[in-house]
Amino acid sequence: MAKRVWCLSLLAGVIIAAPTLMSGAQHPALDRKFQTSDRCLACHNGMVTSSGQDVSIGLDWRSGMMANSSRDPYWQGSVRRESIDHPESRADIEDVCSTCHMPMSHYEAKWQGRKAEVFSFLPFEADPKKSASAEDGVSCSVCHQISREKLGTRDSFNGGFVIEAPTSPGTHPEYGPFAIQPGQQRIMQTSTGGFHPTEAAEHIRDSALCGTCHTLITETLGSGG
Amino acid sequence: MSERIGHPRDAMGSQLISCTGLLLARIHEITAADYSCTFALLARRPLLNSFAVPAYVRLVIRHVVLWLLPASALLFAQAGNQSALRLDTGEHIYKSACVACHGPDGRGTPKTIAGFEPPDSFPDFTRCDQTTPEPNTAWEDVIMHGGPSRGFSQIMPAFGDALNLEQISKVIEYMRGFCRNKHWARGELNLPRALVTEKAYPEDEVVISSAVNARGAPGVSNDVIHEQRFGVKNQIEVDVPINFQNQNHVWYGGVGDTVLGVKREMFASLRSGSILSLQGEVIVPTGNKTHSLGTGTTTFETFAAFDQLFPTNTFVQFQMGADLPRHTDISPQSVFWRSALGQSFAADHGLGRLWSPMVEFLADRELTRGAKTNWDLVPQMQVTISRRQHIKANLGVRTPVSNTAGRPVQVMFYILWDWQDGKLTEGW
Repeated sequence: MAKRVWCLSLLAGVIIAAPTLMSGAQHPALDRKFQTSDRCLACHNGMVTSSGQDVSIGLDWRSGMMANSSRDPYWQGSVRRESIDHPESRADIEDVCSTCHMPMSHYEAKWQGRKAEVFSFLPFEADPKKSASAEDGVSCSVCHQISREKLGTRDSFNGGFVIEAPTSPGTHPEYGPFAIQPGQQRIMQTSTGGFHPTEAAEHIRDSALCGTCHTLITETLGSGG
Repeated sequence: MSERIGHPRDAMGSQLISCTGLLLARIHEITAADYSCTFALLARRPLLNSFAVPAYVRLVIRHVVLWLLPASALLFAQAGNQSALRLDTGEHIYKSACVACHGPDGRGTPKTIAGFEPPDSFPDFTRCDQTTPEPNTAWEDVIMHGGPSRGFSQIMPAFGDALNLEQISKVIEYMRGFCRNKHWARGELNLPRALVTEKAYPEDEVVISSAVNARGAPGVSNDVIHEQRFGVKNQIEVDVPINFQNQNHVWYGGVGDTVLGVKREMFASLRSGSILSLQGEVIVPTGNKTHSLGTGTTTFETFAAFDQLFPTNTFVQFQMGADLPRHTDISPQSVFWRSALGQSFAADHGLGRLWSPMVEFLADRELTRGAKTNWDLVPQMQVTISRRQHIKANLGVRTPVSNTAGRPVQVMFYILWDWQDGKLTEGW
């Protein structure tokens, strides 16, 4: 009977200690990652300046070409056309075109050491979680994580931007043009899972950042790729 | 307008500036309109001309008015600016920091406007059944540390560096106002459940408890208890015991006498920290009497439960009642008195894991001639297990202190799931 009592006590102890033990086992890595726009829109919506000017980026972005770059049927049709014409180069075509049209899923594939895909995501799932990174287009956390490295050089063209690596676990820098107070920094960091608003007055306003995708020098494919 | 006010731009100050901007715009519009009216009035000169006032006096008055009006308007505007910059009411804070997601009425902003998929746990603050059972500390924790602090969605940010404690308290008070029915007992009165003493607060819980005889005749008694609120003040309860008894070195096991009960809260006051409930039960003889798993007769039980919470988080719970069997020749009538005295401690200034050491004093006595009162003592410790604090456990030892002959010492344990707060797998 004493043994049974000890077993029961041990079981109770394990149940009580389990959450602490489990939480202690989690270590966020220093991997680069993206966040989908829904996390940004929750706050960057309906914002006004002191003069009452509406500076909401959320809804403006959502209805723009950047947000719909992956959904653009003309682009999808063009990639399909090229793939049909050059079936032997299909993987390369999808990889290149997704750089600027599906940048999040493109870079996620690159970080995993494989070529990015386009048509494996199409048509987009009704459940947005399954293809969110592909469907979200040129999402907020793509442009705002671009580092100043290579900007303005030829290497940065054709989507050759560099996504900044996190400085420490849970602090992915999201560059913006303004200095952010600590209270707001924590609001954003906690609601996005570690994306840290970081002032970078220079390069985030520089057209060289836009030029990484908007300077496109395509290479033609001949017969046989 | 409320949808446009106060979304964070680069600082909480900027949120306020946003609000202020709109407010000032309104003020300037009004002021400009007033100026126009004033100029129009002065141009027409109906009032001044109606009196026999010399021309130079009229000129002086006109200039004074023309200078004073802008000056007073500027002062007014500055006063408006300063007052709008202060987050001095819960409504200001809510409309600056919360309204974008939670909506002006507390029901939540429509998905098409909010721009994100609301999580399953997204609250509707007008639902009293969802909001009143949660004490202020739970709200405070989520606002201060963000949703994950209580196992909710990450999309709920941490406002701990943007709002101070006073502001958080004010906005909680404001959000409490979305529940219009003030008859719901507040979650602060939902005191830690003792191992034996029934609490007064009507709850949505599943409790699996176990008592193992550590000394005396071997035996294990378990209870699977389901409690569910209905209406504002009522609760039903079903308790299915599963007992195992060792009689003469032979183990017998099975279902004991099943309990069906109804509880009604009679009085609750957060101000005084008190809550009183009455409960009636029918104990159905589903247990085998031969193997001491049941009494063999239907029993009616009734009791009153009174709980008192003190400002220091010390609490005391009382329960007193009677068991009234239908056939007293099979099982005698009895009365019982139970009480629990305890204190709750929590890390992180009262927001973290909750530890509640308690001691219960239990007494029961059969209403037969020559019967003696059985006194038991049960020291115990309850602790919240999940982050959401909806899974709790309690461990204690029940020791007879009078009439000890034939009464075992028991190790008691329960695990409690407040299922209204989330699934078993949620909130970790």
